Amino acid sequence: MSPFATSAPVIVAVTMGGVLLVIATVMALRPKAGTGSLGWFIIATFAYCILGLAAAMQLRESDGLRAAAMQLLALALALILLLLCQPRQTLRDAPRQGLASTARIVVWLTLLGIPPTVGFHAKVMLYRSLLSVGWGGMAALAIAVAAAGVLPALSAIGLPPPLPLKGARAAVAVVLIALIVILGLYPQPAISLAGMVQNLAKSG
Amino acid sequence: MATIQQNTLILVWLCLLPFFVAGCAALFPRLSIRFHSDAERAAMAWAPFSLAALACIMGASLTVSLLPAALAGSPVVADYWWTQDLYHFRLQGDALSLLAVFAVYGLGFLIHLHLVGLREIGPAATDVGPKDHTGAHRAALILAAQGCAIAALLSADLIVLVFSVQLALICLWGLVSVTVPQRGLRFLLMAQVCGLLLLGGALLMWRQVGDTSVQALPLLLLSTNPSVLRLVSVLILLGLLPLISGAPAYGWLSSLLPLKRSIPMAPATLLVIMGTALMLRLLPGVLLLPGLPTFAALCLILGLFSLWWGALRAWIATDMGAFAAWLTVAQSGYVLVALAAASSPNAPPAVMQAAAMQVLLAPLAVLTIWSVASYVATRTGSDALPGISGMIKTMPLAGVALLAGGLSLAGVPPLAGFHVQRLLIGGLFADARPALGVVVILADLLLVAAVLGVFRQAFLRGEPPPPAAPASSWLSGQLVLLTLVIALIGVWPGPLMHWTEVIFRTALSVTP
Repeated sequence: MSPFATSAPVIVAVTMGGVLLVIATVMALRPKAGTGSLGWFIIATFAYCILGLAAAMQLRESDGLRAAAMQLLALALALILLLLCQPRQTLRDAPRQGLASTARIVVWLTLLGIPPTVGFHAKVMLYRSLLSVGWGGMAALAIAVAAAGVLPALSAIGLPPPLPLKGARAAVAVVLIALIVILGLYPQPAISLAGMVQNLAKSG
Repeated sequence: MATIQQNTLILVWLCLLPFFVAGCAALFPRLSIRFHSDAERAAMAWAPFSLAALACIMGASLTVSLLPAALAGSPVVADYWWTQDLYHFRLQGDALSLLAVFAVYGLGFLIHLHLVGLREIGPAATDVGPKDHTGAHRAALILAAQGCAIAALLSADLIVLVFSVQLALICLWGLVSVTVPQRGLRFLLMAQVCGLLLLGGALLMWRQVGDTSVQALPLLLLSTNPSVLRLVSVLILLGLLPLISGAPAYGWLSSLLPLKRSIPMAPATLLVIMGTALMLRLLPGVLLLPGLPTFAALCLILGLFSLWWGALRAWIATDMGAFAAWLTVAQSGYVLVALAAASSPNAPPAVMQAAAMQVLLAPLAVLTIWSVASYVATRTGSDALPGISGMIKTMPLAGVALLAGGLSLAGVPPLAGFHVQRLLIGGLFADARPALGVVVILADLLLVAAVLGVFRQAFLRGEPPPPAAPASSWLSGQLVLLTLVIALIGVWPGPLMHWTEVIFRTALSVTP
């Protein structure tokens, strides 16, 4: 139970975030979801952002806004990488393609919040902001969803390798993978960027 | 002051050394391709592993150089901001963490030595083609996992600790996948589940005391109610349990059994060290209190289950790989039973000292058993017990090493593990818990029966021994080293006993 008085917009936001989180995770966990599980998990990641915003609405001093911005940054990097690597077709007998497979793994790791990716720090900040406003149950739900998300990830990583990446697409993919990992190992630039977003929003 | 700065630098270098050498090992094939012919490169396939072994010797030596300060009760500390206002990168080299780091480097040296020997026998021994770079990647990933384990062991901040533990598991996942794609996905599952449980505990603590530093753990006692304290301790216990292969979290070991026996060697050894040392760092003193009967009961149930389940399955194992895997599960039982026993108000220090000794001795015995399994499987092509017999004539060294490792784990004198069992069982009887002591002794006897059964089947049966490939001197040397270390610590336990006494007096005696 939150020690702070909760206004109606906050109740709407936190309910929307929680419900979206549960629905998206359940859809991602369906055995028939297949490659669609990644899409559902991306929606679940949006729900994390909503929860961060709700925490910020509940208590301005909380880290919710910064956590939501970090989460959006991690999601944006993952989405661009995913768009680069998304295969138009999958070939069951295709040779293993190192870069495309690595990109797919990095996308999942950052969405799940597993080191060494920027998603880890986004998730930690979000859990902290939820706890700081007294929403322990919602933090537990968010952690449980991150744990459940590993199941579709295991299936997705076991799928046939995506088509090879070549030329400029390969170069951009390398840069994005490096960025996600470097920001995971040294998150200060990402945190500063999220802090700027937070300051802008507060001043606005 | 100058000495402190020097020690701080050494502490930071202990963390960075494995990553630096991992980079060199990974780059080695790409550099050698520019200067050497195919034949020369094939002949140098062992080089990344020997580079890694040399780095481990350097790391172990540097760890020993920090011992005087740590054993005098003044831990070496390095403190850096990782981010401006969120996490501190705090490293603390006390007696416990340095023992674990020494174990990571020392046993890491023996793992790399084994892999050098396998490479010398030929590519077929390691599932690696003559032209691919998998060997170098494997050496690099083992080193990276070692580096992450060391970062976790030295870390005095729980968030950094969670980060390091998860990253170590990701490196081990990479280690398995690089050799056999799509295998080892359980490491990913384990990384997420362990990480989230530990993170849950760390964040609950942060909510209560506003800090995630290990030094802030005692504040929990002052500022929280028993139910939150119980929840934090249970979350941390469950988060660390899979690392020491305790039941029911041993699944990752069995998933590696269809692979070459040299593959589970590094995960089993590293995770046992990391799990045991972190349990000792985080749980006793503060969280393992007489006021937490739930935690003590859970620890005891899981410990006895791991011990007996592991010993029983090892007894009926049909190949040496499965035997090694189930002994790895059984050893976690001793640590958990010691932790549970230490929660008694009158528990003697010996019980906790026994658990501290396990940080080095349990992985040593486990590595010996895995090395024997890999040695036999590489030379004969199989380690299935029905197919091998009479090997005492062809590979007596493997038989001696099997007896040394297995019987040490069961606490048979004059081997190293005897001192662990002596302290643990003596402590249980001194604490008026004879029933628990008898249960542990019976499990020891079952382990002895299991080890002797495997030894009889593989080495003493009258059937002619299977044809065996020539032995590599590196592999034989590694088995000799392992056996000698187990025997030497058994007959001369003084330095290790002194080390663990200091651990008990300093790292484990945290009071609010």
